Amino acid sequence: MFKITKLNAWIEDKRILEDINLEVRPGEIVLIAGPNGSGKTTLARAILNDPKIKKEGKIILGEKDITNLPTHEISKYIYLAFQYPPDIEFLLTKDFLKEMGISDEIYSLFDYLSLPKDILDRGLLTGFSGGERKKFEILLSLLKDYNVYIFDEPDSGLDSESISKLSKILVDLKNKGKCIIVISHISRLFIDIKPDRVYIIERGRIKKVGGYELLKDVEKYEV
Amino acid sequence: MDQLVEFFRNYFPKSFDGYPIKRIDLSVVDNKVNLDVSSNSINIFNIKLSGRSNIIMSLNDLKKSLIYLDLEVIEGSEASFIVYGKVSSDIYLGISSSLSKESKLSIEEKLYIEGKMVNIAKIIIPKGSVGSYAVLDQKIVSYGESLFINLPILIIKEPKCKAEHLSKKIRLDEDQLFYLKSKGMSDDGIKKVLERYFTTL
Amino acid sequence: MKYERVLRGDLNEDLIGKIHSILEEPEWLLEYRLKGLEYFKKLRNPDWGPNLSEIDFKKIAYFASPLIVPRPVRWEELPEFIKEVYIKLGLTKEYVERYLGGAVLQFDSSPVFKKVREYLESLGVIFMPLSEAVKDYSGLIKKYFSKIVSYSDNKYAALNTAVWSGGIFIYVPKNVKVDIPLHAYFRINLENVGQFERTLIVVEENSEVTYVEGCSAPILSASPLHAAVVEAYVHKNAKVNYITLQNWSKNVYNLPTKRAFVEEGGKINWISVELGGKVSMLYPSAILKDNAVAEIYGISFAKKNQIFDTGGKLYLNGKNARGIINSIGIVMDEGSKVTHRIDVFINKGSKNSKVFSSCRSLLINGETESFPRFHVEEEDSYYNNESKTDILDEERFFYLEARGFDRSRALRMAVLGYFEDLLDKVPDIYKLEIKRVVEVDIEKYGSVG
Repeated sequence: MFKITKLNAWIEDKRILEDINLEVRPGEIVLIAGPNGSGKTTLARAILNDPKIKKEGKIILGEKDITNLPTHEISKYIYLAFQYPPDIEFLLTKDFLKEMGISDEIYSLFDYLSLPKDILDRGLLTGFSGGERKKFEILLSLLKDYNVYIFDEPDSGLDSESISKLSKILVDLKNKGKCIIVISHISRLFIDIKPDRVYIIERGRIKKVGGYELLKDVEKYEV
Repeated sequence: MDQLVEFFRNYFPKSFDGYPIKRIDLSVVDNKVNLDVSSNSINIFNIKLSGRSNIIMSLNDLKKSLIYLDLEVIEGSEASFIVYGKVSSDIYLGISSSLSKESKLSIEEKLYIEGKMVNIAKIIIPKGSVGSYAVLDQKIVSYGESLFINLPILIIKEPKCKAEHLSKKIRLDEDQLFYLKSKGMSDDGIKKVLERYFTTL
Repeated sequence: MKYERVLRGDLNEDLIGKIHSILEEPEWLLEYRLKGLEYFKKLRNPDWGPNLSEIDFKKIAYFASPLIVPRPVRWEELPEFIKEVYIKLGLTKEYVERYLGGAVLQFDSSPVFKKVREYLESLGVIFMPLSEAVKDYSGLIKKYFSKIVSYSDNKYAALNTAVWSGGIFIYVPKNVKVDIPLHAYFRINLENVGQFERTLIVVEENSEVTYVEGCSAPILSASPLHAAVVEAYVHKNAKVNYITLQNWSKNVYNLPTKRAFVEEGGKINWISVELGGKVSMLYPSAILKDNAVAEIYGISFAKKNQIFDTGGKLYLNGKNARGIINSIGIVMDEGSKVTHRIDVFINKGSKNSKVFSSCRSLLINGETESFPRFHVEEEDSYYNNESKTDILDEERFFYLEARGFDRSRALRMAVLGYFEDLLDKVPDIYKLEIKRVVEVDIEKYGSVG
């Protein structure tokens, strides 16, 4: 069980999140939706303990209080697929993957997600198109076993074939009993799957919590 | 030796007095050469480059040394010079290169600096070198108590040519570090991967 | 030009003493002058850069008084941003011309300047010649004078410290944003600017000021040497824009020293347009503390054997310090040269500092060089330097001419296009003047060439 209790967050003295309460049980897919600038990405990054974000509150995974653990410790349990992963020219993608301890099985996944293999010799995320970045983040989620998966806007910029593949991946993780959080404001992703719970965030506060009937509301935020 | 002192000027290290001097004169024609640099020495290379030629030099594991290269690119030739590696001690690197008519030179430097380095990379395009093209690309990262003094120099006396250089000293910023850590890399792991970029070709 | 008094000849303590007494300065300045003399004699010309050995120090008039000998100025000659200021202050064209167009004027009492001065006084801003200001504000000036550019800095800063006269003092108190650009136009007629001007600008916390030096019209100078010193002290979160339009006549060696000390969160913008002179060596610089920013922009336009050796210097001594140096040179013909010279010191402790520098030359003919130097002691720093040459050769001219542009127009388009992105950084009101200045210069060149 993944639980966030009374989370407040600030970036440079500006309050971004206020009294966030959220929980995800094993095998649940939770959708977090809201307009741009409502704090969704800050929430995701705060869970991973981004040093730029000052927080108060508790983040608990099972029995463990992970609120203030160093980022790379938290990364053992929680995977975050970034909305905008930064490009890092001076790390070769292949060196990065090797350091992450990933073996050659990754190549089959490249094909599955239609990622060109030449990215291995490129700088990490350098020169990747928007779609390639999203696919790369999805790819990395499949390479290790985590307890919690957070996908921040994984569908924007993806073609429909990739979106249906993503849906399959989410269902697969759900069946494995993982806790899944999807941040999205496009409901296309949820044609095949129904989120177990929907949280609507506006201006840093949770405005509504409900079941998949709230998906109609999510359409409001579609850009 | 006077030539060296003149080239390095106020950066010429007095502590190298008495160091052995190694001189190598090379003529590289349509070939690829890996330069062998000696530690604790003054290494002087006089290289004439013709045809399509490449010179590679690694600074990995090099102990205190001064390296001076005089590169002459012959008419109509296309040459490249790559120097890369981790600098852990005191390294003085001077490159004086000159082009000629219709010649091309590309100099690439990939340096990971933990020690002290003085790097003077000079490209001269003399009058008459019509149609020549020179590029200098430097990528540098530094760690710890390092000192890096870099002078990438361009001297262009011929209007009908093209020359450019790009010199970048980078560091991983907060966003990049957060990304890497969120993917499970430790500080050591990050340093290791960064190092690999600079210490391999 | 008629002067009451001219001092030339051997530069010695006697001559310095005379300058000091003619100006009736406070005592403490004499000490600086003598130190300046000492270092001028001690220091040598730099062993790099253009050849300065032809400067004949015996021919130089070290002091000439009075400095103000006006010539009539027509409304049309004034730059847009000056006209705007006069208009804003409620002065009409006729009024301005009546008083700027007179034969002999005491500018102090000129009604035009009075208006400007009244407005500035209402803000608490001091704007007056430094020679006068040292009498009225001795204590204030003593705090800053020669503290940023010392007499030991270089031979010509030493010379300036010894014989300076003329130049401006600007003081802006806390929390004041001066919304009109200050310009020497308000003070003196530019045709007779002193060769050894000394300018001191002090801007207190949170304040802002813009100063424009020079003008578009070519200035005929009898003196072969101009060695000004500009010191700017930018207090916390304050901002200074210093814009120079240099168009000295062909015989001049232009060797100014310009430096700013920028406190936490402060910002300095140096913008220089160099068109005139025989040899120009100019490296506006900045010393930066935490969160301070310096932007140094320069355009030089070398023709008819002119040599411009220019760029900038940055000393980063604080966290999050930022610097931009953007140097553009246009070299028109054989015998002319533009040298970009940049010095960046990223000192230990300047965590998260960043420098972006760019040296570009458009070579139509002649030579160009680029000498960037980076001295980096802090690992947590970033710099990005780009040096590039572009050519505008016969083939490109032919292409443009085939598209219907005559040579002069083609040249103008190419040159203006070349520094378009640099111009973007300049406040709008000066863009026009800078463009105009460059266009006139190209036209002049084009019509003769």
